[in-house]
Amino acid sequence: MKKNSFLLQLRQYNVVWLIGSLVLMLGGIFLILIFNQTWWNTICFSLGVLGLIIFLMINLTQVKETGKQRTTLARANLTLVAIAFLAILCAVNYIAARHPIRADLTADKLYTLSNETLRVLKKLKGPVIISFFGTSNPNHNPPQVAQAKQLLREYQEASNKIHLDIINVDKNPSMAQEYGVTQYNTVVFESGGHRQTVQEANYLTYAFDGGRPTPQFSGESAFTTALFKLENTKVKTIYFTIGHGEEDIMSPEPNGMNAFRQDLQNENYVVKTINLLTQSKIPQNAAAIFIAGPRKPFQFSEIQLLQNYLKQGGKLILCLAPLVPTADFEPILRDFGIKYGNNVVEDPTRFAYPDIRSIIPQYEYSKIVNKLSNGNIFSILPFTRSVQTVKAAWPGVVQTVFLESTIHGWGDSTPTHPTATFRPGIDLKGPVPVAVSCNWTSPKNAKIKSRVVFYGGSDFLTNQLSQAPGNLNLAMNTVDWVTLNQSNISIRPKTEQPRMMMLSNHAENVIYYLSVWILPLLVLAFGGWVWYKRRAI
Amino acid sequence: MSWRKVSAIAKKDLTHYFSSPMGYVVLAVFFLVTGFFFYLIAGKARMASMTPVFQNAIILLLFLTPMITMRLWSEEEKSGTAELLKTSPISTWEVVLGKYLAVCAFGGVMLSVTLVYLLIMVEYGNPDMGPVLTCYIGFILGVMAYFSLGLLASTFSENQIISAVIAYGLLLMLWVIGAAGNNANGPIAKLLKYLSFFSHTSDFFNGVINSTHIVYFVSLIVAGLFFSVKVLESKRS
Repeated sequence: MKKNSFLLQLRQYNVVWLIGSLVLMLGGIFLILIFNQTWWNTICFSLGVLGLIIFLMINLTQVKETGKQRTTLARANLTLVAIAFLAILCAVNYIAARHPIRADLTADKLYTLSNETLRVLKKLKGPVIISFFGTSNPNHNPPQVAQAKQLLREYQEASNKIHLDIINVDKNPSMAQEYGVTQYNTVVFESGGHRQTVQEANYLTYAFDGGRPTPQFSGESAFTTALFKLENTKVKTIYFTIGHGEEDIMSPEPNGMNAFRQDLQNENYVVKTINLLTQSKIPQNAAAIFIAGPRKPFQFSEIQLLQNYLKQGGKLILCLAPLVPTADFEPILRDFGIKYGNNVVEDPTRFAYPDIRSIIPQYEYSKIVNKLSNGNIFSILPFTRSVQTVKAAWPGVVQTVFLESTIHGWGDSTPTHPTATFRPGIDLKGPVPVAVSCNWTSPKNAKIKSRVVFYGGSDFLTNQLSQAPGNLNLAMNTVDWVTLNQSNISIRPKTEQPRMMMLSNHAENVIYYLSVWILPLLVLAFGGWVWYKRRAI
Repeated sequence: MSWRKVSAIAKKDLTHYFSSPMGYVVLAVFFLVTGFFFYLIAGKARMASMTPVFQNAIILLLFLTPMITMRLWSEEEKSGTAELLKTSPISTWEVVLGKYLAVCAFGGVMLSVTLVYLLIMVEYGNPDMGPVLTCYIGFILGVMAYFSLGLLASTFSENQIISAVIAYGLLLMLWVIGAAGNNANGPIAKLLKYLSFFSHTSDFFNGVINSTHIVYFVSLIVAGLFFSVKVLESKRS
């Protein structure tokens, strides 16, 4: 009897129904807003569902009777129609979202992918997962990050092989850890077990126009290059020579080249060391030989080995620091028409403060530096010597100076001299070339093509200068050029042309009074007049 | 469906907007606020771009829409004219479409002020006309979706304040739902972001036309009208 009266009470007030619905709703709201399966929204859901079941059980007879009524049937019919209608709308929206048609109507085509990107997207062999590791923290969300996300969405829309995931690192630290992501706004491209990582610094660059750094978005170039590399995973091996006091590629010390090695490995290069004295020939798989700042001379046999290698289409990067004798390399330098100066290049108009010997060279037209030049990204070459071109012994050598000092710089023949000023007749007059690239095609066999890059210093490759804006890029571009790696796709950053109003003070005042006062007051006055007339009627 | 009946209802409702002080107050507030933003953008910042004007105007309309649409059906219920409409030989679709056209025409009058701004911009600057066009398309679609949902909210109650609150809640939910999507992952996040009004207006304001966004707004418009008809039909029965 007591039990029956309790149920009656519940029926009368529908308490359970009310509480059940409320708690269920709360659970739903928490789930949507937080979307973390926490204990309290699980409890909310469970209690809500339980409440509804209890309500249905104790009102079972009433529910059955209601179900038989005409109005209930009409409402059920209405609900079914509504559900069917919603299902159709969902289907239409799903199809529309899967097959969007876009038109970029901006004059500068700011939201249109370049032909290079479309070509790379078209050639994708398999599905590519792009994971953007962002944060909701506004301090880490400059406008360029939103641009990057928008651009990646455009990649997704342009190719059905692209799948984009925007991941909140703060909510998913384990996922960031799994991908080895340590910085916000990193983008990871993944396909067929290979990964390419693009960090924020790769797509948010700075242009030093007029001395003031201005952020520049070069996302398309960075992302398309990453996609290209993902698809072209052929491994190339770079051999660094050892045994002559070269910079250590494994060393994390300031004068080591650990950072450069890591960059090379990130770009799918295999980095190995080689002692030429112990070799009878250069390994077959060598994509290039890298000689980074030897302090001791090479043996004749080593030079011969290199010369033969180059004759067969070999690739070489030679960085010879000032004050190091170059006589041992004379045969190779003669072949390619290169003359290293016994000097240190100084430039009082472009240098990294405070040392005028740390020059910021000018970029000349060359594939090695075009991207840096377009992006206004500086490189710092400290303690470098001049690299001049002379007539090459091998016929068909094409020499290109791609880095040089300004006309105000010079090659100081006695760098220990106390005054750093140009001395006519003693010093080499600017502009002084500091890096030269050479192409050579064998006259006997056009298939044999060698490439050599000569630098007048090697300090720019070291860890202590890896933070300089363009140094690692310069080194990487050199390796890419020498090894014929065409993966660094150069796409000019798109910038919106500012469209400004040409207003006099008078015109500004007219705009102010017209838009803020006259138009709203006119409407109010007309409204008042209508109201007055109607009231009079 | 008779378009004569639809236009008769539209005319009646539109006349009502311009015969009550409410319509003029809403218009004046819209002109004042958008005018102030236009002055800041064109006069102060010297930017020859309509995008920021429309970005602010569509947020402003989020607050004004409930005031414009709250009376559409609620007033008919309250004044008793709803009974006349229910028993007259006019179909529910004709009534709903007539009222919707009226509110859209009122929106058109609101929009007309932006043409004055555009003329000033063309006279003193060189705006990129592509984004201007997409801004207009996006704004018109967005406002039509607002009005459709506002009309739906109006059918729920005879009390205009309640209708306005429901409309406001609905529209606000559609704006903030994307933020919930930012906190979620996977398909739920995608769904929430897709439902967000914001994610469908930004492309238009940037100068891009995307068929997905058009389908989204048209869906909202059709859904608002469809459910308005169904709610009224259930009341009729």
